[in-house]
Amino acid sequence: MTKPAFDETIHAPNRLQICAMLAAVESAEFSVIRDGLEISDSVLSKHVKVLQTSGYVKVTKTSGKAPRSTWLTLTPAGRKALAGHLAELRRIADMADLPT
Amino acid sequence: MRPESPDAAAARAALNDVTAARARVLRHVTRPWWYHYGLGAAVILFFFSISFRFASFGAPIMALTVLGLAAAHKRATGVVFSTTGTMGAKRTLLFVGVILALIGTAMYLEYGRDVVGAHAVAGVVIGVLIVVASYRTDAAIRRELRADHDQAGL
Repeated sequence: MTKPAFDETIHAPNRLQICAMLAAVESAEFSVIRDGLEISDSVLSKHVKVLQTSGYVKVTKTSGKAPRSTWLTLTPAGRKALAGHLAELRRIADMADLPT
Repeated sequence: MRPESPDAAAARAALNDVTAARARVLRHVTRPWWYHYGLGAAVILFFFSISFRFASFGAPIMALTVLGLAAAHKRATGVVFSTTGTMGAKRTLLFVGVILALIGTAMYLEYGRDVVGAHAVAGVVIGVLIVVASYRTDAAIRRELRADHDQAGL
């Protein structure tokens, strides 16, 4: 059972969705997340940078003859923080359902 | 400045956004038809190469095909997802058992009884089984990821 823990870094709507999308897979290409969220490259880059600085997302750039691509992976720390944050959101949502 | 904790309505809205975001990425969690059939074809070719004595070509071709399919699939879908543990331990054991039994029978027939083409026949059966298992694994992954109890995908 994950301990509920509010996470300021993940709380921003776009960052929460980025983490949720990355949690469903091992890694995803930058364009998949960008198109999924319908945001621009620069906006996604900004959020990824914040998550990367917090150690929640790992960024890998491919090299070689094929066109370069950027892959994003949620780190174990990111998975843990997301799980805690979602548990906290569920706790808050459930509290409203309790009889007063 | 520390953001305030959301109220119940905002928390529910955020959880709904999470579910929607996961649904969008789940559209990519599927391997194209050519991946499944390519894998099956590579395996069939390998077993044909054993039966008809061109294994020195068949084995590297199979290895390159599998690696090429994995790379092409990654580029085509834009996601990498784990397939380990999806079939369950019992089904995996059964699947491996059937494959080994087919290979064992083919070896016995081809090398012990001089039945030419036994590996090729076994290869066709194994190739078909691999295509079916590959499709079923994809479906199981999507089911698993959609399951409510795994809402965070963790």
